[in-house]
Amino acid sequence: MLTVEKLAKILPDGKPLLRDISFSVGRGELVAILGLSGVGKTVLLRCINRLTTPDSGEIILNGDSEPFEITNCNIRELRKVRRRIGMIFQNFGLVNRLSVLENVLNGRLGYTDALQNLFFGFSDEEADMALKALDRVGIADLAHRRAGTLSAGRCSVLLLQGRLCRSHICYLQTNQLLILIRPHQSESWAF
Amino acid sequence: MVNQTYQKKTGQRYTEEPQGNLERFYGNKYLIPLFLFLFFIWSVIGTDFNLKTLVEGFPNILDFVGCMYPPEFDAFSNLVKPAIETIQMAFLGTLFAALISFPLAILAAKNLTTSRLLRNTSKGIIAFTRTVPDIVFALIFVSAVGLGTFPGTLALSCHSIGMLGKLYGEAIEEIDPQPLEAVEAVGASRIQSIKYAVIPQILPSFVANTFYRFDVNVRASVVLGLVGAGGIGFELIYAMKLFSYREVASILIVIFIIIILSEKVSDVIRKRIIGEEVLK
Repeated sequence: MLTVEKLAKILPDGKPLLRDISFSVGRGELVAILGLSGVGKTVLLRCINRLTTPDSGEIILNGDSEPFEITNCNIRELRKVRRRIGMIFQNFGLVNRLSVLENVLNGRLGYTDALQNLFFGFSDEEADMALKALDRVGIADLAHRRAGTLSAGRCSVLLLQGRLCRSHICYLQTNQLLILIRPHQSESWAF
Repeated sequence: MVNQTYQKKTGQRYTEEPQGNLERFYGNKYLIPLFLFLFFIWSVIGTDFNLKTLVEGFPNILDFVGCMYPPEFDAFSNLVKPAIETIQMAFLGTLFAALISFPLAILAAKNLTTSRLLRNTSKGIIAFTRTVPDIVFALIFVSAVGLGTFPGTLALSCHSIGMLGKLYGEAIEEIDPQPLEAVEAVGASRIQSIKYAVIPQILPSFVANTFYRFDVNVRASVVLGLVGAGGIGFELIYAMKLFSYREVASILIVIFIIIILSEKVSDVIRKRIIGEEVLK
């Protein structure tokens, strides 16, 4: 389902960080990548989402329909791939000054029409969807509080909901020492 | 020193990295303060900076300030209209400058614009408008549209782009990159990520800088009076040319009141934006 082949990434100072990395993850599998800090776990994960562009190698995400070749697709395709991949950052990456609800809605940005969204914001259906997602984890009452005031535990729950607020096929999580890759079994996890 | 002892002991040229870093580190540590001190001495000589002359001339300052006392209170009724004109000029000048410099700042910010050509062009525009003094802009616009507050407003907005663009750009470059990446990671387009991850982060400094520029523009409009660009500055220059220093004092009081008022308004607005962060 997710196939990584001969991935390589060289750091700007010329030192090779990732060399010849190949693996594949099947549907429903849960994979953990373990390693000391600085060995490139996060970079590998960022390559899968192409937040970092690898120097060589291929990453293919095989969804329900056509396969995405993440390593060389154009911006429009990349947007499509990215909305199918959930990613949770080490420090959450929440926009602290926005409300909890708006942060969940940010997870929908890959779907909305950029221009319409610029002038009119999110639609009512999307807001409803986000509120339901918050309700499922029992923090709907915090919807209008600023994300910066939440505890770390709540942040991660919130992020999970934000990324679940769409149908995705693969979910990446980075933590200090371990990184999880989890292509989902069924769409029942998502909406 | 480290270098020499190392050479003596080993008899070979010192090339290893750890010591190299150490040497560089200590070298820098004293170099910058020394450079600053030399620059200080050089500038004191260059500007004829002399405390003795200042102390000797102090009675003259008292004389001059004495001429301003008491302020001409009758003049206040005539100053209301120019004061309002000045506020309107500064408001419009700041508004137009903010509207133009925000997109320029986005294009000039390293973390948002990857195209070097685009970045350098907008940086160039920002630096250019900062270089040309407001009074020169005023002269240009006075020659185009005649005397009055209109050329003054145009001059203020042109010159304000330079400062606002630079400050907005710096604020954008200082944002926390993670929310921006997180939003991009879910497939947000450039415009969307600016709206949802950049603007919320820079809003407080955006408001603070814009109000500070309004403050500067109220004072800058005084200089513009020199070239006949209307407002309270025109009155100030007029009063100074007639040596009526008591009227000058009352004009300064009016400007002081305007500045204090704008500061109060800025405080209220900023409190509304930042204050919501506190637990409800």
